[in-house]
Amino acid sequence: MTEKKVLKVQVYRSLSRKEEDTDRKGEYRSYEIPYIEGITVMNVLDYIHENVDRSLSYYKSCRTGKCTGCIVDVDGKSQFGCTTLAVDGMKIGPQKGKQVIIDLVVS
Amino acid sequence: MRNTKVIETDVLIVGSGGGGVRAAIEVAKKGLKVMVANKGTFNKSGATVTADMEIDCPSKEIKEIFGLPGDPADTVENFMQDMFEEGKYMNNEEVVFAHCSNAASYIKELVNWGMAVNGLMQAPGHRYVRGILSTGRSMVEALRKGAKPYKIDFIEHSMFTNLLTKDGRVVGGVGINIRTGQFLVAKAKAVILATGGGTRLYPITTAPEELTGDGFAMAFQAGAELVDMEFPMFLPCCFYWPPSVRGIDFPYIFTSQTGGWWLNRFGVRFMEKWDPRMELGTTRDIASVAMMMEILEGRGSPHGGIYASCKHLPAKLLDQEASHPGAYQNYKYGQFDLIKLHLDPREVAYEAGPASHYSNGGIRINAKGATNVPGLYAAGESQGGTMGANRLSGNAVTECLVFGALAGSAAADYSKGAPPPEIDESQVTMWYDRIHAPLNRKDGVDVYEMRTKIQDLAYKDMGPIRDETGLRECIAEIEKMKKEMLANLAVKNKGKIYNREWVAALENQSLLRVMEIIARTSLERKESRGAMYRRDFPDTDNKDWLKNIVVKNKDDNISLELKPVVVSSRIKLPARERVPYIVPGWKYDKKF
Repeated sequence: MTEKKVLKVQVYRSLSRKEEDTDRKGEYRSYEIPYIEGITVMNVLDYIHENVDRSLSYYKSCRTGKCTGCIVDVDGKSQFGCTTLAVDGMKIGPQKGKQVIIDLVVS
Repeated sequence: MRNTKVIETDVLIVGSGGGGVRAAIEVAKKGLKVMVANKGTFNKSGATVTADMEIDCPSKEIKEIFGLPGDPADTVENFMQDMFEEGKYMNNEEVVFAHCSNAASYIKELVNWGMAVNGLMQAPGHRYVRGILSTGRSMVEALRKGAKPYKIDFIEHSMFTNLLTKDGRVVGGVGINIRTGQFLVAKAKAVILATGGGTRLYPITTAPEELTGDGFAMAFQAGAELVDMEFPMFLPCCFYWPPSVRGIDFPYIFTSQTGGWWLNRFGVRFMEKWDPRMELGTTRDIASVAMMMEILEGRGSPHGGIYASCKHLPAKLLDQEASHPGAYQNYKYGQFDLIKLHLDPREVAYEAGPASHYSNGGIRINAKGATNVPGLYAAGESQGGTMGANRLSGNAVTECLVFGALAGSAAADYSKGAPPPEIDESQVTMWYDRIHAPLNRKDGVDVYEMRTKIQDLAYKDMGPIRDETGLRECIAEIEKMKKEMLANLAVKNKGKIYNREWVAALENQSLLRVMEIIARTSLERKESRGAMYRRDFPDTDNKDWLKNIVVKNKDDNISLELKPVVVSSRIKLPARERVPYIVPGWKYDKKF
């Protein structure tokens, strides 16, 4: 029997989800997702959004490293979500130095 | 209605890619108020920014206007004829003339605004060197510079879903601000739809996520005609697996440059059935059909594609190819490092296949970008008539540039004489309720379950290969989806701030409408032509089918009208006879 591989990641989530709140404090939450070789940060976010928590928000457009809209902070470094490989234990946060709209979406 | 933002402007432009921004410049230049709305962020969304592009004009003008080595023998008429031959004579002559005759001066303007010129190229289908090489990023930056002197308002993260009409004229639109969840009502004297295509109808696409055919659906709803919708274009041999690179066209580019092979699961180079020129010389439409036939007939790879392999070639040959400066130097393709992704072409064969690439058809316009509905204009991929049944390489960005400018100018002129927009509040209330219904519904159909169903069905029955049985089944499913799924969509996430699921629910409405239009027009066309192949009618029928299919809304149903192609003497039409869709004279009779 082969063991099903999982990937553990932490993703930044805003605490308040209400329109009227201006405070966008957040925390890192842990998620486990099935691992497929070669999946990217964007694939991880898509998986969580579609299968675990629909409220997870992030920006996605070209998926090919061109539009630059999906830049997130991965373990302290600014990276394209769509072309960066996902690794076990990674921490995905909003791009540093930008105002957080919600979760990983920044102004 | 709670939490509504009312916007007033002269011209509302939906979409901030090349077409939208170029249109905005023209409107502002004429001294009118202009507002550009966009689902994403300006400069970080839309198809233009993703283009590895060439932008085209007659070769003669490359020499005269740019001082580059163009060929003086080429003319506007030659360029037009090439577009007609590639478009299989479905193109609209006045629109094509506007495209070909205005391209050079608008490109020159872009170059003056700083667009890089990286060289020239003669792409397949062009009889002359017409392509000026640049990048989408550079074009967008140039447009940004061109827009700088003018006052143009951008409302980013804003999705328009419906147009407002009054006495048969378009007077604005409604939608949501995705960032705040606020309902938007725009009052405008004219609206330009620069929303791009409906490429996201399919599960695998080369285009950005947000191209869900919103403009097509909005225009249809408002009574505008659409044309050539049965010709969505596919790019062959894009990655199907792994998920990180799905839709990326590297396998196509690399195999067709190096002498790679396209194989089915029996290891057979199936192109020999279709085209004696094989992988190196075939065209994108025939290659897509050939691949799809292998996939549909069960000779595909585990993840649903075919194999694209360079493994029979010496590693040194591939290394040499990857050593040139360009799109895949050192096996890096854009931001993707193929070696790190375990996608080294010296080591592995790829699973690849046709990916949705471009909408050849679209909103029917005249040479100025105007639709049949007063106050409504379209520019770029959302317009129809330029490309006919298939697009020549390089023409997509050319089209959005030229028609952005033309539609902007025409919409501004119209606005000057138009009465102040009067909004019908009952329409606003109706759309408000429909937009909020999936958000307010407690239980119901899952948004992504519906999205997957749409895409899987579109791929299976409305991909590069279609037939009557599949299309009829598809139409029956669409009718079912309208009643059972669309009417019961329920968004699970109830938050209003940047709610991706809510946006996806609204996009599903556009996608289902576009899907129905493509299904019904494909069923109507009983032949194979350009980007559309009917396996039950495998010939191109120039005797009975030199006709466009025009689509219109009739009481929320789709009505179709056949319009014979009419051209002046400057366009040479083919002989009125039936010809094989594949390369003429090529007969394959080998069994395997």
